[in-house]
Amino acid sequence: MNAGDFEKHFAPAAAAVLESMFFSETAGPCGASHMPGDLQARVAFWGKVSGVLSVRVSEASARALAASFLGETEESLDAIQIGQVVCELANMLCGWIVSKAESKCVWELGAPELFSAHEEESEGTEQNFGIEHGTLTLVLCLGVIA
Amino acid sequence: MALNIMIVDDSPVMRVFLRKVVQLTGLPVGEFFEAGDGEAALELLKGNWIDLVLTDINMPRMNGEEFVRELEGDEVLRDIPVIVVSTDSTRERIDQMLNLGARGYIAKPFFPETLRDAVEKALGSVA
Repeated sequence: MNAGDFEKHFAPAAAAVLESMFFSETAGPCGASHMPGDLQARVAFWGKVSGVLSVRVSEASARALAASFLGETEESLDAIQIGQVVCELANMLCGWIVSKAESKCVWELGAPELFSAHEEESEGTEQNFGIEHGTLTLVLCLGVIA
Repeated sequence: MALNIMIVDDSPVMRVFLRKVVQLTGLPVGEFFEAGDGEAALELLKGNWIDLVLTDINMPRMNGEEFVRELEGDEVLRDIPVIVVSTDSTRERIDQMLNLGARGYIAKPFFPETLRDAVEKALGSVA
């Protein structure tokens, strides 16, 4: 099993998670976009293959997604709630992707955690998707546990 | 009859989401109870009447698997229907939790009607 076995599930995972849980959608693949203030969360997984999936979204996108997820106005949300929603987004994306890629074996997920843009990211397989107000980036690093 | 529903998940925003989705389904809800892990949920179950439990699997202290085992080992609590709500959609995990005693299993992500159907099925299986 290699990164490609996981990567092919990135786009359907993003579409399924955003549509059903965030009442939103992706505008399809797009170029990389890093902005100051982007929020990043990562989830480690252990199974036949282990690794870490990281998710990065712009602050504006994260706020919009959190508002949809919680059924609240964007103005009413604080940074903690938005961070928790980004963690839950990473959790669902990682679970969806690993469930498909490792469908025949038992695996475990770690607790999702926010991490700083200043922390060094491992090299990995990356895909970017256009979403409301910005970009959703998924980065997969196999064999690396956070 | 209004249902008292307990939501067990270590993510506060997921608990809010599940509460809102349950409300959207139109199910008659009396009171919501919330716990961040299996241990906290067991404490709440001892002192409150709960008609249905929605639980995550991956939680600190006592995870969903241990929690369902504890419920099944209790002569009173084993009658409370439990629906697992998890990101793990593998057949092996679903079968494992159903064999342990869960009455339903919902893989995240899901649409609101999936939750309503699972709740109705789980409550119907009690009657």
